[in-house]
Amino acid sequence: MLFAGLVLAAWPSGASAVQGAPLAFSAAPRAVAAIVAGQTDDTRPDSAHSAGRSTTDVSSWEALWRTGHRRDAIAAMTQALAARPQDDELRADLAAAQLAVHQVEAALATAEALGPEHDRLRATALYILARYDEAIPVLDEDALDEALMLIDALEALGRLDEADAASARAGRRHGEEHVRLLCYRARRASQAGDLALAVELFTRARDLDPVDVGALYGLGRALVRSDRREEGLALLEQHRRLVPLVDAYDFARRAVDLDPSHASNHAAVAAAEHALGLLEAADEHFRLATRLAQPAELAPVVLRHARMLVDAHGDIDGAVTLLQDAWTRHPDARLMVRAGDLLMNAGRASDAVPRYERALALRPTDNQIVQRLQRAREDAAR
Amino acid sequence: MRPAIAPLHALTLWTALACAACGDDSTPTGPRAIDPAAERGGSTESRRGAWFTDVSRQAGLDFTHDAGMTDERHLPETMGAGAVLADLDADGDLDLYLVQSGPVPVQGTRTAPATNRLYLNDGSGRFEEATARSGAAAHDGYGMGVVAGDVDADGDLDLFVTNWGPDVLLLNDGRAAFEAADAPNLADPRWTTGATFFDADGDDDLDLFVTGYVHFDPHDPIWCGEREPGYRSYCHPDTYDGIPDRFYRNDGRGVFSEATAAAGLATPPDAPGKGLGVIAGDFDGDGSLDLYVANDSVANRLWINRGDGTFEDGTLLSGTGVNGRGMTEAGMGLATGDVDGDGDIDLFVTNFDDESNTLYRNEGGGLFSDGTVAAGLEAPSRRPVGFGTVLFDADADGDLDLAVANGHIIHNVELYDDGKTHAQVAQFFVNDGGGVFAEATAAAGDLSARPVVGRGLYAGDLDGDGDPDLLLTECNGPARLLRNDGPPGGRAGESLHLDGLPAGTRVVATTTGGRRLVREAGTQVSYLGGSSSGVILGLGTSGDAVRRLELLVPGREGRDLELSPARARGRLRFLDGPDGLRLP
Repeated sequence: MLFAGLVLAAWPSGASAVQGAPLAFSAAPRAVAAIVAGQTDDTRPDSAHSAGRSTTDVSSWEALWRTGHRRDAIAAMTQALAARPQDDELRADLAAAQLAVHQVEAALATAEALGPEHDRLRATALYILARYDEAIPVLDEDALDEALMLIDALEALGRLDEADAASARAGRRHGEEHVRLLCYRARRASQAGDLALAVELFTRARDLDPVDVGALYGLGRALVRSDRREEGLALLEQHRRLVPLVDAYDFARRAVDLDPSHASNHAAVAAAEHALGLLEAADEHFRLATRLAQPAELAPVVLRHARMLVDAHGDIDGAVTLLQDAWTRHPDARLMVRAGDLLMNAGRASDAVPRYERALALRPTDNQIVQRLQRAREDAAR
Repeated sequence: MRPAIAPLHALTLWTALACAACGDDSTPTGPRAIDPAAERGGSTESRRGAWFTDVSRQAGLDFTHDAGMTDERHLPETMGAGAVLADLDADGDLDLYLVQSGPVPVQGTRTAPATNRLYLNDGSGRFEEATARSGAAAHDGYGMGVVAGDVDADGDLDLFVTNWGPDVLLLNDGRAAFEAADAPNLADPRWTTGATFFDADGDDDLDLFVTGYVHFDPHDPIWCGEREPGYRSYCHPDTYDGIPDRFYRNDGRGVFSEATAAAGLATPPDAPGKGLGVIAGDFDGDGSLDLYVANDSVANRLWINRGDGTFEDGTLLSGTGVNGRGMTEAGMGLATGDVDGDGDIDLFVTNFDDESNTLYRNEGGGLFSDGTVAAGLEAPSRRPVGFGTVLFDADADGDLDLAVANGHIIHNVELYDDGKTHAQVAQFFVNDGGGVFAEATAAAGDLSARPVVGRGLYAGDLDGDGDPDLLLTECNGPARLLRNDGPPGGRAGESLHLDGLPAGTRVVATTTGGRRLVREAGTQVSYLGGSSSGVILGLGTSGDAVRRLELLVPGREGRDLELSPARARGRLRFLDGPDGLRLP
């Protein structure tokens, strides 16, 4: 994951984007991008070492960042920059890191000495600070995320004709089929009274992302106002059920933004994705949480993951494998109890018996495990 | 769903309210703005050319809110408390009742009791503290909000105070001495916040709606924020389960019975809401009073009155539950009024940072649209955290201007986001007459002179000079009385005041110049409190005057009044008796 994802996790993608501008900070400085990539991936990226920079410098602040000591990483980078104030790459790295931890004013100050090739940093910081008049001239429409920021900034300022024009340019440059672009155009159509067009555009947005609250809500409202009231109300009801799930997802993602090194934060994201039906993403986040988990955190994470596999896919074997792997890493009676329960529910009592036995070995006085084991043995004997 | 909580999770720096605080001397960084004038209770002279002047000291107002800060960072410490501007001693001017919070009631003990305070107006905007002789109004619960209304129809204004803890109904003896009503069913021990008196069923008495916020246990504190000295902060409301609102029906004598479910106002068990404010208004123009509830971080709710005092959930159809992009927002302060001059009641809600405040434009027929961008209110409100708000005719030109009290929740927000501050500047916007606002904060004088942790903001003619003044309350800080000195370099128009109208009365004033001004009498709740319930009709400077009043009291036949001669200034005090409304 690029550093961008962290820096601008304050701007979650899709439905939950606060101001509608998901950002892919693809122009992130290499070292910082590597830092982020290294943070969520066990493979240490080669690009962490920039020309002219000591291995110790980069590796030290990278290590700090990777282990969640982000302020210390920034302090180390700041110190290094004080010694090498002409190092633009380091300066850009620092500014990006500062943005990542919501030191936006500091990032802006850091980036001040950078050339126009780093306008992206400045523009992003100004946008985050809602200094739209200053951000607008520096936003680069060639980047989709900046184009979306531009449209949003113009809209927020009420400069709607300009926002419309920027939206049209963004569509030509980046393609029309983007949820945010479609939703913007749909809102404008709705405001202009062209409800048929609004319905069409919101429908396309919704088809692109079925959990985008803006698309779903906009479509519902447009239908209601188009005298297709019952259809619209049905969608608005769907939206009402979806919003708390998206809010929870948003909330969890922001926790990851603040500290991506905590397993429980990723597990919360995974749970929220599960609730939203984003099963692949949920599986990924559960696996990430599992990798990051400290011993005490492991069982709760894996239990939730296992439940998802069963609920969503009926994958009992997959769930049992997860639980078994976790047990191998850090034995916890709950893991084997759950494995046994899953197997019992699947009619595989003979497979459940050894699981319960392992659990009982850890908690020999636990009557509930005793009872489970007894029942499994009886079922297996039949 | 309760998200997994890592030590850092709470500090979401966007819409999420992770941490909340109201001023804390122990923060290692981010000191509150200090202003010697503020410490003395107000400036000694008005700013030249400024709209509002802090006259707290000379007016005799010396109230400082005490949030009862603790190291455990209990969420109630962040809320501030409300106030009400009302004629509590029935002498024709607006008095002040300010709610105090005080020591957090943890472990059953409270040190140094802090009471709510009553200030009586001498008619000229000078106040004498009268708490000592106010009886039970010297209430010492951990106060949240207050609302005033004549619940027992004896001609004086009573008070209902919400607390984090048992609420209390205070009955007025007519001379601003109060006794606590014997009403154990109203002593809701939960964390209640906003409240409003309104005639739900058109039977000429005031019923009561009270919002419930969240279930919070101070004996089970959760750590939110980084685990480093000075970094502990307040948890996001998402951490806690919401609690349902309650509705009480008045029997006409000030005796209330709980009727939430019977009135159709019960919320689903899995979505009780997290109410911070409620306002009554005729949002669908059918002559009965509806309710709008601002819920923190979950969808707001619009309850449509069927006309008989029972309600149905009109949120989905109305479009007022979320913003125009389908997103829930924080939802703290509330104001209603005909912002765009089209004759119906619009709705304004203040929200958190990285959200804008939201103006819901009434399109008629119970439908609203998000008009925030078109009104010029989107960009200016995305960074501040908005709380108390008033729609009021600051320059008496006949349209409704807007003021918002701002202030963050997170006392140490600067540690987590260097672009944000705990204390924030209040904002002021002037209406162009068509519902488009231009920010005039720079001209607002002492209203916006320095950052404060703003919470309540209430409007009323406190000095009797005809224009609406402001009361600004601060979380863990001094309340400020701001005299309206009119537009800098210009002059305010003439205005006609209407007093004594029953709450919810719809007023349509036709002027000699052909204008139609639509207003609703009754308390504007702002945040946790209430502005003056009277109506001020601004008439500008061109000699316009009111020649006709159409008055529609909920549940009654409309009443038209021709004014001959037409009135351009002064005060009309209505009497409401067996024969309806009349002027003496």
